[in-house]
Amino acid sequence: MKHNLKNIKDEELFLLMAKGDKLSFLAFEELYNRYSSKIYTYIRKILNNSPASDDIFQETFIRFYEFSKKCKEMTNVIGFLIKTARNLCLNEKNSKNSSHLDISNFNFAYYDKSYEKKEINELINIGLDALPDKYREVLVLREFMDFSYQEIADILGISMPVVRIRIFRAKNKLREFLAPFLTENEKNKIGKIK
Amino acid sequence: MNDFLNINYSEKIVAFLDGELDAAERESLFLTMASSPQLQEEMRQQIIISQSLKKSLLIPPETLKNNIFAAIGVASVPAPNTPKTVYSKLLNKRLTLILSSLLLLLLVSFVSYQFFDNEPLQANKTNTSAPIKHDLPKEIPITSSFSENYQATPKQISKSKSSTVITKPIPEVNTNSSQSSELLAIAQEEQSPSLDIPAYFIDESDIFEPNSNFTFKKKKRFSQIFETVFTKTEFLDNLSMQIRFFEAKNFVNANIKPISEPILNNFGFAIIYDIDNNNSVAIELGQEDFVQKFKGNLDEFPALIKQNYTAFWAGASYQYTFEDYRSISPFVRGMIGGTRIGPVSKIIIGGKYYLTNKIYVFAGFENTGLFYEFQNKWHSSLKSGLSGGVSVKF
Repeated sequence: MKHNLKNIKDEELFLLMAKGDKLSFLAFEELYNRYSSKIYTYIRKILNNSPASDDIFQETFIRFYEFSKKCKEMTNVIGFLIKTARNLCLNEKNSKNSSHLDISNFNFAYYDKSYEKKEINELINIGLDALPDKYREVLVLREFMDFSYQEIADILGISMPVVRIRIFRAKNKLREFLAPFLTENEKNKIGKIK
Repeated sequence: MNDFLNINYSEKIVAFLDGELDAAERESLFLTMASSPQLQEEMRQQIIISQSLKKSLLIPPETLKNNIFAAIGVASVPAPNTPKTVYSKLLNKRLTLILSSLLLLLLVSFVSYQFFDNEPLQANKTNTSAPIKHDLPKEIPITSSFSENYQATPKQISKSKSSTVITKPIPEVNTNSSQSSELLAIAQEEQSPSLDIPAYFIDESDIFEPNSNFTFKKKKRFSQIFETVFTKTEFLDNLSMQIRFFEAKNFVNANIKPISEPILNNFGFAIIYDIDNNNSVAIELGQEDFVQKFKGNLDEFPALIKQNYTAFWAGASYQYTFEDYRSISPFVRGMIGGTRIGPVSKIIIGGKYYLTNKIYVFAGFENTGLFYEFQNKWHSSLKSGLSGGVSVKF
């Protein structure tokens, strides 16, 4: 018998997972398919594509599955996944004091000419990777996860106005960083975006 | 003062695009923007940034999913997002098994033939057109598999590596030819190549000189196992083994490195059968990276998907070799095969140079295309570059 779980809500899928039968694997797989890309993107962006990203991604979902055996109910699956991934990322960051390029040090006048040939998407990713952690995280949660400011505030344990100002600063830094590429050459594209 | 106001409105632009502005703030923003080209430009740039960010969602590799499912104690079910075709399923299970078995069989045969079977007794070559002046010897050394009509003696011949010698003369052959009977004996033997042919001399002064096409073989017990499989050595003579490497660049640059870098990445292996001097066919397998960049929907959200996929491929190829040009043999080769996610094709134009009559090196320009289906749409990943390698005949 083929089960179609696509239209079932996260909370109901979690209940199915808790049962521990064959259907629980299918429910887990459905939730994996729903959120794996978002969680994977979050981890990769937060850890600047560190090789540890893959391990943390796996660990996140394994912990999620194990948690379903202990707790029979969950109202916010994506919230749980993000918090788990975030904690693992913080542990990883604490264990390795990795330094990364600060966006304020970027100067395209002296930078690799090959950047001129890159697409705006790739440049934005470079800029995103160079943002300070606190700005990059709110931007990733907002743009990739589609969380509201309030949800981000809950996840990070900060107030909503702080989230708002961080997102503004993050986007503003990105805009300044990309300024040479967002001028005349990009004007033709705006029509398509509208 | 004006700058301070602009910063305030810049923040509102970002909040507006995030859907976090209430009605009153929205109205205020639009009224101000209407008279400020600077804010309008900011709005335009922020839209570009938001749109571009949303396109950069990453897809986890399939191996991670398999690892997770293995860790929780269940085999992974293919994800709906994974491009799968009927072809790939076939390739996954049956074709891989068949190809592996075939390769193993060929390898074992090659090893047995090369190291246990083939021990030339005599390498003398003479002009085939020259008449042979020796008389037919009375005693003939042969291999142990010769006819039961002959009786062996323990006498060993100095130049022969054969272990037995027959004393009985070769039976009469009905012929009208006036040539010596030894030529007739050779003719008989050529008609029955499955008999490994004896040497035709008794002592050093009476050496029989076979023509250049003649090869003596000595049998050992081990090879008899495979004798039933390949009694005709001509088949193996036309086979060669090829190892290739590829150095190709993808047409699109996703700026993503593959998750894993297997040791044998960008290498290939082929078993080639030469139909004649110009035409040959082969079965090939190899592994290389393909950059994929395509649009689709993830979680009902339009996304630009980029990944660097390391594909194991296998297929069949045909090669046409042109006439030599200054010791280089130009060739063109086409291959059609498959990967786990869809068909793959290759076309190579190059030249080969023979180091010996059994070994050649080659290099050429190669174009490769991987075709795959995602959310009911077909996409392709193309790459071109150089390939080269070495081929050894069996």
